Amino acid sequence: MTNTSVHRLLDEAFVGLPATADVQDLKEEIRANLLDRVAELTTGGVAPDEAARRAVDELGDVRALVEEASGQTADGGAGAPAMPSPAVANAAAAAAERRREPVARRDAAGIVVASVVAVLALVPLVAATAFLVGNADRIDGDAPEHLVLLLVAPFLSGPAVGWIVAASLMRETATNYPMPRRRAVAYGAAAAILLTGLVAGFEYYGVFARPASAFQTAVPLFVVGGGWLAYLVATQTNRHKPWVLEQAREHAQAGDRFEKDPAAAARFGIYATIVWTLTAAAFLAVGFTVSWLWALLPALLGVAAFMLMLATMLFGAKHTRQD
Amino acid sequence: MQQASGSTSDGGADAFAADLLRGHTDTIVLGVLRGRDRYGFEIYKVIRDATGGDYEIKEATLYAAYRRLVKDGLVEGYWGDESQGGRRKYYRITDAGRAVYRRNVDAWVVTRRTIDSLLDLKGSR
Repeated sequence: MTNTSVHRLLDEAFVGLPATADVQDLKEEIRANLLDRVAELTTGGVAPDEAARRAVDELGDVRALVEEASGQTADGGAGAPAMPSPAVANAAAAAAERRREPVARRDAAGIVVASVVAVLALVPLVAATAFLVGNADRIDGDAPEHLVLLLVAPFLSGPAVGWIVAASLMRETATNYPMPRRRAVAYGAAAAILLTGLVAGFEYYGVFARPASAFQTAVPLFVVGGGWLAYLVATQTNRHKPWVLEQAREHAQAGDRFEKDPAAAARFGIYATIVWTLTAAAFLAVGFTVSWLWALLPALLGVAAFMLMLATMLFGAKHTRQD
Repeated sequence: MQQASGSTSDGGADAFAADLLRGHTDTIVLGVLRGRDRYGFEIYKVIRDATGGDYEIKEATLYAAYRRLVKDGLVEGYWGDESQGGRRKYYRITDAGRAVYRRNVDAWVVTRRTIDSLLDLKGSR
């Protein structure tokens, strides 16, 4: 009855097209929507077969869309569904091009402001801690103004860091769109709770030497803040600009070289082993003979050599292909 | 459908409006998804109801819009878990999508003001 008719018409529309996963996805998506439209029409009193025919007719030029999905280029270009619509394309282009310059400049100012806030928030904590640690015997005695500072510190540094987190998330950058205000504020609040717990726990444990109190104060705040933060991160949606995603797709394709060319991958493995063996030998040799600080130099050189090798072998495909 | 009967006298005006509407398909879809996740037919219905069924955006146009939006990372698609009937593909707006939506709405407000003044609507209103 109605369903068979819709399925038949849908199959007809997809005849002769490669059954790639992408095309299959599109077909299933269209099928569910068609069934809904047919149900709507038949409730309105249209005969089932007529409803199916009308629903498929209403779809419009699905063929061009399907061809685009299957990777074939619609040579007529009548539908041209691959072209971005002016609305989003213009805004995205404007955002990517025109805004890049001022965004960078505001970033610099934001970093300065954030640093000042962070320093101001941490001053009482550091000052009071330094004082009390220097006068460990007088903790219970007569330093009330420093105790006040210590009590205030978690409530200063936590919100300050939260503010920095929220403000930087709401900022547009060259690669990211600004996060909606509510979500950014939630991130900030979660970070503030987490850090308040951290600082309070640190004070109780390190300064007042009361591990039990540290545990009781820090753990609940830590759990609440951490849980909230984890929830936010888990439900986070894309914030990158289209050109970043495009670049990521291109890089993903470039990364295929080792998959396509197993010999190159094997060679890379052998070279990597050689580089790291030599690096380790040089590290130990310099460490035992000269000093361990200077031993960092060969280690860094090893990292640099490895990265250089990775870059030339993974992306500079032309150099190594012929051998 | 209904619009066939309504558009006999002023087909030109209808074409103008439909064209204008189609130029903002992506932004309209983002706006529809702002409240909650929806699937294709739901989005189609919301748009149709909002326009009083007069200038509907063709479903093929919408499918093309979904593909673009997903590619640009403004929207994410995922399959629902319907047990009977076809499985529905739902769309969820991303933070990037919300940012683009806001920007396009701002641009539209400015454009609308300009067009209104160019078409000399102030005097008649």
